[in-house]
Amino acid sequence: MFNEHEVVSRVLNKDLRAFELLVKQYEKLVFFVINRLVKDQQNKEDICQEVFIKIHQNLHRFEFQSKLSTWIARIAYLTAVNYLKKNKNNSPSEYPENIDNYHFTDETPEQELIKKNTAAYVNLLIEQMPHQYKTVLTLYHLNEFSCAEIEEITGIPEGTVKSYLFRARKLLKEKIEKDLKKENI
Amino acid sequence: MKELDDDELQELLNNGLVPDSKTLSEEDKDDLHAYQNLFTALSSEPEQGLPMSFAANVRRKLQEQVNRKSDLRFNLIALSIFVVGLTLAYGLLSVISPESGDMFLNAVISFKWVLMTLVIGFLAFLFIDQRLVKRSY
Repeated sequence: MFNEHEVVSRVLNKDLRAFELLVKQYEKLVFFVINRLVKDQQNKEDICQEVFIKIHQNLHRFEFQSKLSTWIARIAYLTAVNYLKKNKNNSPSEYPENIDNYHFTDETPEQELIKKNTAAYVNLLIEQMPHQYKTVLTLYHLNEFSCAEIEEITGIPEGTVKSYLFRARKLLKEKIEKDLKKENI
Repeated sequence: MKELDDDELQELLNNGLVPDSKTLSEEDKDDLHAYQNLFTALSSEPEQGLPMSFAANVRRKLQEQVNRKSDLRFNLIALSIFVVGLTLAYGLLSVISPESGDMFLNAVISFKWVLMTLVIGFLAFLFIDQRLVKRSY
C-alpha cells in the first residue's frame, strides 16, 4: 500500500526509487488533467514529465496541510494553464470571453463518425468546451475530487465550480439528446 | 408532467441517489437515463495513456540532472585543487627560500598560457568524458 508520508520522506532523502513509486501512483491523475487541457498529443508526455520534475524540485515545500494528490493536481493544472497561455496564438478559441453563454458549434464530419461511441463522443464534445468546464469535469468525474478540493486546485470558488459542473453537464446532455432526436427523424 | 429539473436530477446522481422509476414521470425517466449515461461516459478513462515506462523515464531524467550537478561540483573542486596547489607550492617555497619562491612565481607567470591550456584541456576532457560515458541506472 502507498504510504505518502514514508514515500515523501524517502524522496526528500534523495531516494529516486521512491520517487518512481510516487510517479507510478499519480501518473494517471496528472495525465487526466494534461490530456484534457492540452490538445497537442506529442507534447502531453513532455508536459507530464515537466510536472513530475517540478514536483521533485518542490516536494520539500509540501507540508501535508492538504492531500498530496490535491497538491500534485494543482501543479499539473498550473503547468497546463501556463502551457495554454504560451501557446494562446495557436488556439484562439481557448478562452471565450463569456463562458456562461457557451454553446456547441455545428457538427463536423468527425463528430458524425464518433457519435455511436458515447464516451468518445462526450470526450470530443468536452474538447470543444472552455477550459474551465473541461477542468472541473475532469477533476470531478475522472480524478474524483470534491468541489472544495477543486477550489484548492484551480482557485475557482467552490460555488462557481458547482455551477460550471451543472452547466457543463446540462449542455452535454442537451447536445446528446438533440443529436439522438436528429438521428431518429 | 416533469417534476424534477436538471439541477435536482444532477444533485441526486451526485449523491448516488437513484430515484425509484415508478415514482417518476416519463419525461423525468428519460432525463434521468440521459444523465446516468452521461455520468458513466464522464467517468470513463481515456483510451490512450502514458507509456508503461513513463515513471522510469522520469527517474532517468532526474538522475541525469543529479549527475550533471555532481559533475559540475567535481570539476569545480578539481579546478580549486589546482589553484590551491599552486598557491601552496609558492607559499611553502617562499617560506623555505624566498628566492625559490620568486623563481617559481616567475616560471608560473612565464608559462601562464601553457598552464591555462593544460587546465582548460583537463576540464574539457572531464566534461567530454562525463557527457560521453553512458551510465546505467
